[in-house]
Amino acid sequence: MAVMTQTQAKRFLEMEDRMIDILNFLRDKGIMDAQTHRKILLGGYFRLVEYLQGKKILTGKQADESLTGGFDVLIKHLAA
Amino acid sequence: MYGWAGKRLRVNLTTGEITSEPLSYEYRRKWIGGRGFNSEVIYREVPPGLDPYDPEARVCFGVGPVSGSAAPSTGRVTVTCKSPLTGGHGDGNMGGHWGAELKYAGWDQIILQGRSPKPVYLWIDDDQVEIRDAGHLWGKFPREADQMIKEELGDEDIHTVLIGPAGENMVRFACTFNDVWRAAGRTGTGGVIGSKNLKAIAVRGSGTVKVADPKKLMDVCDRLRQAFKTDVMKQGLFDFGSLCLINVANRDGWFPWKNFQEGAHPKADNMSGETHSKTVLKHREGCYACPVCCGRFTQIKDGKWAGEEFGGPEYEHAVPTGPRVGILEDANDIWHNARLTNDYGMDGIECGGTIAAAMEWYEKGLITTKETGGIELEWGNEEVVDKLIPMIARREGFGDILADGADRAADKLGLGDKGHYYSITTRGMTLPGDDPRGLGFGYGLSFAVGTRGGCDHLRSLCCLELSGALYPGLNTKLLGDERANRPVTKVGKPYMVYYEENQKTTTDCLNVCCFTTHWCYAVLTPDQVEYLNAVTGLDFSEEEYQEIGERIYNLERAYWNLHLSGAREDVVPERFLKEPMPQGVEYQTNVGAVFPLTDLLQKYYEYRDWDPKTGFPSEQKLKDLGLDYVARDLAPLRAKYLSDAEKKKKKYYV
Repeated sequence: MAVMTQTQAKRFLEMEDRMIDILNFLRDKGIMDAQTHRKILLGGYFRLVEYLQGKKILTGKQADESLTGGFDVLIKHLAA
Repeated sequence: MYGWAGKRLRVNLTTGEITSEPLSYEYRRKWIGGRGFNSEVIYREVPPGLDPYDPEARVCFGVGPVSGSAAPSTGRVTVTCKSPLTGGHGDGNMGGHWGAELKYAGWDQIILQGRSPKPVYLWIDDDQVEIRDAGHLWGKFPREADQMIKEELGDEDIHTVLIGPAGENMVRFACTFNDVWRAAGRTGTGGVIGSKNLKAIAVRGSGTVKVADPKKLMDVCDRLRQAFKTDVMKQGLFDFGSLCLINVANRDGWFPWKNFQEGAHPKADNMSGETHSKTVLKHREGCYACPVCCGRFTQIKDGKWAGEEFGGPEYEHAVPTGPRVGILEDANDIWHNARLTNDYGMDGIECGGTIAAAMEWYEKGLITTKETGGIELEWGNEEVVDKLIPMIARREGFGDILADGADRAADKLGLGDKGHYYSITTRGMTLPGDDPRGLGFGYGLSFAVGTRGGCDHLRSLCCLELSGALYPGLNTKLLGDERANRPVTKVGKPYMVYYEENQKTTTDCLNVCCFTTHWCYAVLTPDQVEYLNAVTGLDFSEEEYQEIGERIYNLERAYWNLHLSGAREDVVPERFLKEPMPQGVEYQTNVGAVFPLTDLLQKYYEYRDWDPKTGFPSEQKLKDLGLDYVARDLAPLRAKYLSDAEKKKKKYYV
């Protein structure tokens, strides 16, 4: 499910450190609350992928690809 | 109650009063143990204005709920005080077996306060605690005093914590040992113990650790031990100790040649783990319940120092009084110097770092033989180093100036900012032998913001960029970007530092060795939570566990803020920012690198929710972490930190 524009995705892809910016973006879009934001920040990237799959924003296949490919793949899925 | 002993021991060495204090469920749940208990006590009981050597200052020894259990490497101890070196939060962490023994004696923590009128040692035999005369132990090396105590008490199985002559003489970087060779090396805990006229703490415990779910614990431990069998980092540490890093450091350009003037040297292999194991390794020594066994025992076989023996060295102990001071030709000189700093009871990093700074002051003409008392401080001069180490420990002559650490020595000698440039310190503490221009930008960032000053390998460093590359996919799993395992890149580093600091802080609350988790990545956070719950019978979640790390890290940061140390002090030595890395060997990977600290700091503050102007944790962050009282303490200091008067002050230490 697309939750960001291609322009937004391009901006995220160019960043050197993305975790907090992407979490802030998803929180501001209402995709996660502050508590989830905090939980994922403490737990690591794989917790973000798990959450997005649980929310059906990522399919199982997309989640698997995002777990092995990292943010580069995840951001593309979020913008697709 | 499972896991914890449920009580702490308080000893007032002025009055001789010995008390037992219960540790409530809420307290244990909030701080877990070890570093958490200790940092909480130091924040609450040692106010900013108090001199670290004042009798009212505290020094704490803490172990965790899994200490002494079957979980991997659970024998460590955290020692915490207000640092006499930096003036801020100070702690060290040591392996060995003493931590497990303290637990078997029925204690989670010891708080020492006051000052004995004469040298004493503490004898803890389960609930029986006695203050005994130590006049005959004063001046002895730890290995001598350890044996004398065991003979005196008639029990070879006693475990001891000890200080050496440097601690007795309140050298500001004296360290604390247990089992003779295991050191809580950094920040000068040994000097604070010495200031209390305490030589040792001997412990014998006849109890055990009560485990809530023994089967579950053994299942987890079996699984983790299997994982260790094939762990690549574990194998390197077992084979060569942490000296396995020497050739890696040389290749990647973080080998601290001559006070970090260069990052590689053609003869680095002279002191590598591979060479050490072929030439002087007598045997390996493991700490309590350790599946890694990185400990070395060295016996010098030939040359001037033939016959000398000692426990160690490891990478961080060997390089400061070796390549950092220009000694590399004969590795036996390096092993000898490491033995000396051990025997005299000093942090090898600070000792070597301070001598290296003095050598560079001498080289640059900032000091002459007039200041050094005739000592010609030339790079690579073993005779000078061999002479200076005991002089520092005894506070004799020029050694007395160096005994206060590089930054204070620069001030005593009136060297100004130029002198401090070569001190290679952060918050008053010399950096370990890891050049951020080569080891990595994450490491550099963690030096700048470390809550005990420029810290080292077993506390808050981000090993995801050191050993992370040995675990394909790990950086992607945790940080979302595999490129983060490259040292000389900014990619993913602020998040890496935030993540690893929280993780390692909680590991220090369990008092588990960082070499067995997030160094070797055979054990990850979910595994730790699993065995913590199996031992305690509680239901810690991963989130709660990580949040405890964040709470403690913020508390320690706030302790610095109480001393008006914040964003302006989040620095690394200017050499790393200004001097491009020169080429030392042909195959070096980081030629030309400089460390871009400023680019990383602002993002790091964002992760931490620290005010970028002050570097203080936000009021909301402190409240979210259950630190309302800390938020109240810091409230009046935020504006003060930004005042013109404060801005003008250069605080190399507080």
